[in-house]
Amino acid sequence: MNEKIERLQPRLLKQFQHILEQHKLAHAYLFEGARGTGKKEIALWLAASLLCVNKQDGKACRKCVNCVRVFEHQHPDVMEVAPDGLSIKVEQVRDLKAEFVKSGVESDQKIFIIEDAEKMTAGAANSLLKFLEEPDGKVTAFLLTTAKQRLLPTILSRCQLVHFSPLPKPILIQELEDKGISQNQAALLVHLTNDIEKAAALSEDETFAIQRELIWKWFKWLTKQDDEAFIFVQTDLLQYFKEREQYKLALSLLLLLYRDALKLFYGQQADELAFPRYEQELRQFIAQKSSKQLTEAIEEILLSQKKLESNVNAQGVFEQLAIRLMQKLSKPLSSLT
Amino acid sequence: MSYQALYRVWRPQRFDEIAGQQAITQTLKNALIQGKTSHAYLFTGPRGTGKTSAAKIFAKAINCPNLKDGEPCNTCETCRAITKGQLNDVIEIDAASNNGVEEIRDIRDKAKYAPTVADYKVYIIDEVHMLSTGAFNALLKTLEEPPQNVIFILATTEPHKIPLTIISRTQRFDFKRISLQAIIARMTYILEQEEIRFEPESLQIVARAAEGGMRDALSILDQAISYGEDTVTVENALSVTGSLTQEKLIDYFSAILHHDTEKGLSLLQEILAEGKDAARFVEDMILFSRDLLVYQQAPAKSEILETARVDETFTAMSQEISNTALYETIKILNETQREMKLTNHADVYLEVATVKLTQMQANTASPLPTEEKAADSQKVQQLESELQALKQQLQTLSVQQSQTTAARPAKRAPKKAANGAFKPNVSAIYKVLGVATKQNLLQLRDVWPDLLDMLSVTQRAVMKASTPVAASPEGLIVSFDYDILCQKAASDENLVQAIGSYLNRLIGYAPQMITVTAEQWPMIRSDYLKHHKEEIQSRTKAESTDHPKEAQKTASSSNASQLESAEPDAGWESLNQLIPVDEAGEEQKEDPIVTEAVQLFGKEIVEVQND
Repeated sequence: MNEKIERLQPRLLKQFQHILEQHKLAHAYLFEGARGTGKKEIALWLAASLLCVNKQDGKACRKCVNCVRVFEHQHPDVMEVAPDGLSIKVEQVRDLKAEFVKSGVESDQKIFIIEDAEKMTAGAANSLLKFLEEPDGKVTAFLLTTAKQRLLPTILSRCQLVHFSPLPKPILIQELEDKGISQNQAALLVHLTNDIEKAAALSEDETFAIQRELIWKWFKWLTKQDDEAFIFVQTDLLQYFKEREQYKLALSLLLLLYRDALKLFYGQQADELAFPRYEQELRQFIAQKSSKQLTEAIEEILLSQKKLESNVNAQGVFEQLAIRLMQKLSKPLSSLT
Repeated sequence: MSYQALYRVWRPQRFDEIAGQQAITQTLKNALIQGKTSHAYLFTGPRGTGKTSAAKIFAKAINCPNLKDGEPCNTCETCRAITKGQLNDVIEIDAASNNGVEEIRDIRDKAKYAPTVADYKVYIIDEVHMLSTGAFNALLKTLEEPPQNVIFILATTEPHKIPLTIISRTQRFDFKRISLQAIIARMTYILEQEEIRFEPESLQIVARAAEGGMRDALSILDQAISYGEDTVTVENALSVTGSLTQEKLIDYFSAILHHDTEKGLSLLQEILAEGKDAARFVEDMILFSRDLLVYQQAPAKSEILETARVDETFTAMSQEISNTALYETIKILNETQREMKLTNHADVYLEVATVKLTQMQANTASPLPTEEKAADSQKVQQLESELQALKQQLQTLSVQQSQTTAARPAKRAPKKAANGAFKPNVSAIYKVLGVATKQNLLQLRDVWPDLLDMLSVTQRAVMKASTPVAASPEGLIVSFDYDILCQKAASDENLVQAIGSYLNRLIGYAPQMITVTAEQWPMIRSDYLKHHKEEIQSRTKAESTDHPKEAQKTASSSNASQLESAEPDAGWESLNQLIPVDEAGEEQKEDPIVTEAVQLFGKEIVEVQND
C-alpha cells in the first residue's frame, strides 16, 4: 500500500509526512487529479495516520487495529461517501452530517471521505458548506474529485487544494510493457487511464479489442466521407457499445484518433501517439487536411461528449456526429473570399 | 487542540478587520452609532468577502453593552459567547440544510419570544439562496414586520436566486471582491503576527490566485506555509497555486506571435506535465493579455497592471503584438475557459485553443483597413495583383527557359526512360531547398485545401493529387502522384499564375511553384542532401565555432520566427525534418517481406500495416 503511494505520488507523500510531523493537517482537503493517481490511497493513509494508536512520527503504523480497519473500510469513525447512482444526493450529505453531530465511536476524531465530489447535487454541495467551514469537534474532510472546475467556488475556497499529477506517460508505458503488454496496446491504454491495474484488465478484455477495431473502422469511413459511416452507427457501433460508460469510451477513442492526427500534423514524435499502429494511415489522412479542419473535428467530438453527459440519446449523438464530421471535412473552408 | 486553518483562526472580530469593504463596514457602524439599524439585512457577494463575518460582528455589536465607535468590545460576556457560538439569542442557520417550509415556520414561531440574555435576537441565515420557494414565501410576512428586537441577516453568494419580494424587504449590501492590495495587506499582517517569514513577491502570487476571496487567499497561504519549512517562498507559492512564471507566459506568447504551432503545443505539454492547473493557465493568460493591452495603450500607467512585471521582454512584446491580435486572443481564451468548466478534457480544449491562437493571424491577415481607406486599398490591391500576374508571367518564362538549360547539367536527376516523362527543374528545386524552412511548409500545407477550393474545377482536377513537400519564402515544391498531371500543371501558365495570386491572398506572399512527381521527389531530395551535405555541414560548423551557443539555438529553433526564417541557417537538421512522410516510406520499403509481397501481388493489393 505504502509502496503504491510512493510510486504514484512520491512528492505528495513527502509533503504530507512533513505536515503530519508538524501536526498541521488542515480540516478540509480537496484532492484533485485524474483517475488512478492515488487520491483515495492518500486519503485513507492520512485517515489511518490520524486514528492510529501506535503512531510513528505522526504516521500510520499499518499494523494496529485502527490502521487495519481503516484500510479495510471497516472503521466506524471513517465515513466514505460515494455517488448513489449518478450523483451524491442531499440525503447522503444530511446522513453524513447527522452522523457527525454525534461524538466519535472510538475516539473524538472523525473523518469523512467524499468520492467524486463533483457529482454532488447543488443541494448536497450547499448543505455541506457550513459544515465544511466550521465543523463541530475534530473532523477532517477529504473531498476527492476528477473535475474540480465543476465544484462550487464556495466549496473550493473552504478546502486546501491538492493537485495529483498523473504519472508521466513513458513510465506508465514502460510498466505496462513489463507486464507483457505490447507497445501499441500500452500506448493506447495510458491515454485512457492512469491506473495500471485497470489498464492491464482492459488489455485482456476481448470486447475492448473489438471496440477499438470498430472505432478505427468508423474513423476510416468518416475520413473517406462515406455515408456508410452513418449507417455504421446503427449496424455495428451500438452492438458493442451498450451503456453510458461505453458510449463515452467510444467518443474518447475517436477523439484520440483525431488528436493523433493533429499531433502528426504538427510533426510531433510518433511515440506520443495513442495509436502508433495507424501512423501511416493517419499521415495519409492529414496530407489533404488543414489544421482548422482537424481542430473543428475535435471540437465537434467534445461537443458530442457534452451531449452524452446531459443524457441525450446515444444513437442520436453518434449519428449527428458522423454527419457533422463528414460535413466539416468536405465543406469548402475559405471564408476569405 | 488540533491545527486550525488560518481562515478560522483569523476570522475578523471587528468591522475594522474586514478587508476591502470600507463602504459597507462604515455604513453599518454609522447605523449602529446612530441607533438606526434595520430589522432585515441581505449580504451578498462572492465567496470569502466577509459576509458571514460581518453578520456575526453585527450581531455582537448590536448586543454589546460597551459599544465604541460602532465596534464590539469582544471582551464582555455576550461578545465572547457569540464568538464561541454559544449565545441562545444569536441563531445561525444553514439554509442549505434547513430549506423547507417546516424549518422556516419554526423560526417564525420562535421569533415571537423575546430574547433571553441579549438585547436583540439575531437570526443569521447563511446560504439563503437554497431556501425553497415555499420557505421564502413563508418568511415574507415575518421579514416585513418582525416582532420587536428581532433582526434577520440573510447571507448568500447567489442573489439572483432570491425572490424580489425578499430583496425589497431588506437593506441590501453587495460585498465586492477584495482588491489585491487589501488581501496582501491582510496576509502581511497575519504572517507578522504568526511570526512566519515570507518573500513579498510570493504574497502577490497567492493574492492573485485567490481571485478576490480572502478565505481562498488564506487557504492557499496555509498550504504554502505547510509546504516549506515555515517560510513562504515564491517557489512554494507558484507550486501551490499552479501558476506560471512570467518567462513561461512570454515564451508561450511569442509562439502565438510567430504562429509557431509546434512550439506552442510542446510548451503546453510541458506546462501540463509539470502539474500546472489548466484553468489557472487560461486565467493567467487572459490576465497577461489584458496587461499587454493596457501597457500598450497606456505605458505610463504601469500601476494598473494586474499580473505582469514590466521588464525588457514585456515591453518588447507589447510593441510587437497588434491590439487586434490581443482582442482575438482574449476572445478565444475566454471561450476556452467557459468550455473547460464543463468538461473532463481540459487538456484537449487547451490544445485546440493553442492551435487556434497560433493560426489566428495567418487567417485574419494584417490589421483590417479602416472604412475610409477601403476604396483606396481596393484599388491598390487590384493593381498589386495585376503586377503580381505580370511578374509571374515573367518568372514562368524565365523558369521555362532555365528548365531547358538546367536539364542538361542535371544528369544525376532520375530520368525515366519512357518518352515524354516529366523532367523536373532540378536547379530551381535546389535553390528552393537551400532556403527551405519547415515553417513555410507547414503554413502551406495548412492552406492547401483552401487553395484547392479556390481554383476552378478543371484546375482543381489537375491539382487534386498533389501535396506540397518543401517550401521557402520564394519557392514551393509540389509533388504529384501522376506524371501526366505533373506535366500538365507545369506547362499550364494560367494555373501557376492562379496559384500564385491565390497564395498571396491566403498567406500574404506568393512562392513560385515548382512541380515534381512523387516518384522523383525522394531521389532529388537525397541527391541534394548528398551533394550539399558538406557545404551545409561546413556552413553550420563555421557558424557554431563563431558563436557556438547562438548557432545551436538557431539550429534547434531555427524556425521559431518568420522573420528569421528566410535565412538558410536551418541547414542540415531542419532539412531532415522536412519530409517525415517519405522517410517513413523508405524505411518501410526496406522490409524484405514487404518488398517480396509487393513483387508477388503488386502494389495495388498489398497494404502495409505496422503494428
